Amino acid sequence: MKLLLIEDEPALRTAMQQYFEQEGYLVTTAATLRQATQKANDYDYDCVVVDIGLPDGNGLDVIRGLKQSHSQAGIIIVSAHDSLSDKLTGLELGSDDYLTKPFHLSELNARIRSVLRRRLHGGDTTVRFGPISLQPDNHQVRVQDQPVELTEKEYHLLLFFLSNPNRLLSKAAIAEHVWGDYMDAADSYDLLYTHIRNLRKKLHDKGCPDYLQTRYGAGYVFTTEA
Amino acid sequence: MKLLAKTSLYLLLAALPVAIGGAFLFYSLIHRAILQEVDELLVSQLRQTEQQMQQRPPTPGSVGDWDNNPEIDAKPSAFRLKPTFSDTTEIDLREQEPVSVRLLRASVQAGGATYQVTIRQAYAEFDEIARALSVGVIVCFLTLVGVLLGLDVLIARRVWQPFYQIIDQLRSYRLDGTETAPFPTSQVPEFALLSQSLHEMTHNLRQQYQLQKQFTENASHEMQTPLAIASAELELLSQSAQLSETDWERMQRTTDAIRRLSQQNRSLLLLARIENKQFGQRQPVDLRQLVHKLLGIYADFAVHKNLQFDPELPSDCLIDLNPQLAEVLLTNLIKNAVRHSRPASRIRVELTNLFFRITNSGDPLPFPAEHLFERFRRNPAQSDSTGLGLALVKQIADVYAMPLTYAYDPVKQTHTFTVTFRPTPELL
Repeated sequence: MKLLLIEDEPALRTAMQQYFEQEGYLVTTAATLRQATQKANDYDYDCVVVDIGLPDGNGLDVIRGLKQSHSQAGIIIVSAHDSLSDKLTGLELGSDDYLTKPFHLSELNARIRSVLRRRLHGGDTTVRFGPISLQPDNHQVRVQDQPVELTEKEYHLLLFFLSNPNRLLSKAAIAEHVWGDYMDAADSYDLLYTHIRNLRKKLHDKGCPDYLQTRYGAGYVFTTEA
Repeated sequence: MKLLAKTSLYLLLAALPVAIGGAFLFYSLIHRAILQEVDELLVSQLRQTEQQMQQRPPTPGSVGDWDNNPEIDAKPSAFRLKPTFSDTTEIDLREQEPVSVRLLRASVQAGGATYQVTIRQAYAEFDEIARALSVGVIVCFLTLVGVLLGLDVLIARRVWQPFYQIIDQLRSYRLDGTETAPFPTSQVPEFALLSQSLHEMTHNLRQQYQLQKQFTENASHEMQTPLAIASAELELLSQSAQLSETDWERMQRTTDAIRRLSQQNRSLLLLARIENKQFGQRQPVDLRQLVHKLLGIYADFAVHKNLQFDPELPSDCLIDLNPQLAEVLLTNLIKNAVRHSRPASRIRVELTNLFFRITNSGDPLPFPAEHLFERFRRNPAQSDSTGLGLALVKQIADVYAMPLTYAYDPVKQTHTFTVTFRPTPELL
């Protein structure tokens, strides 16, 4: 999977590049609008992550260029501006998602995966992990072909874990993914604990091994490793 | 009252006392002039009578006249009287009513004898003329004022037309809108100057506004980017295997602090943008649907705290607001209630076409109620909140001139927040 990261801030660009290379993506980076336009024209990418505020122009222009050349790449806008109009313009231009800075890399990763799944036209979008299979189209989860009844929040929790396997996910990242800005940190951690306990129990009841490891003080890891 | 009506009214109010005072003054002036004329007449009559008497001294039998004017009475020879004027009233024989009469009395020497001559002159008619004149003058004056006022209104309407055009233009002026048409120019230098000044002023305002808007956006960008770097670096660091549990806890706390800082930053920017009136567009927002959605979002948390929502929602409730602000307003009120509510209690949510009210149980405020909506005012026991939620609520309520009230019921131990909606004010 080829990923183009367009970000002018060197530290953030490097951190993102490192993280996604660890995830197994082929990562190309661009720091300016000119570089980005050039690289977007030179290769086909599966997904483009674009920062709107670039030193030499607006990242939205990259999206316009991509759409003009009928690129099939998924597009995720990353912006420091919490601006509704930017978001709407971006989505109107044909971007797939919009993320406001600061964000968790695991969140961006989950979004990229979701965009890539949606790009698989007609293909199998099922997310699999061991005996667990999750169908994003209808939110159905099965363990060894037995349906598991999950609540909306539990479903989103599971999908987030499945999108970031073998990664330590902080409680903050998980809580923000599930509840967004609607909840403050301290309130959401207790709640998160309850939801994770329920999810664990439901999966375990269907005979699913417990992949979810608790790292005290840090968060959770969804992994097959002991 | 309109400017024209007001000036006309003041003119009328000023004209009335002038008319009444003028009438009296005019009357007394004419009255005095008539008296002088009458006195002169009497004096000349006296002289004439004196001459006649000296040429043909009256015999005792011929004293007097058929109409007794002048009245000549014989007096002792020592009698002396200087010409003296006096006023009296006498019954007019023809009209049978008292009339004012002016008298002139004097002693006259004729043929060695002394007489007292009294000359009368009725002057009621003159007085009547004076009164009629005064009234006529006043009526003319008032009519003139009336005609002038009418003319003034007609002229003013024409002359002030550019002024009203400027006002219309000002009313439709919006700081966050696109550049509007220039103010109408006029041949009148004052209006042209006003137009010009207004044009410059609005231009400057718009520039200031744009600068401030840019600053808010830049500030957001400049602060969120370093936070994004810190957050990303921490996340990468957390993947390292050589960390102890204490390290992880430290990183967790740092992550939380970054999140809080980012939220506070965003809330402050939102406050600034609301203050700058950057949320101009209003549209009917279905608050029933919004409340329903938000209660759904907080349902998890409510279940967790064993809280129960008691919603009382109308079938529909469309209020003219900015959709984004409407959501921020209601989210913060509901979030506040859920956070501070006692476990296992009820939260009453009432929505009508006139108000939104939310009531939750809880201990009294640890600070005076008037500080409740201040920025960074929070319960010391819950120091991890941004302290900006209710400040945002207040700011939004203020922008739409919606009264926001808070009340604590010490008996039931409940906090109640009420936002009262207003019909869209025309001038906003």
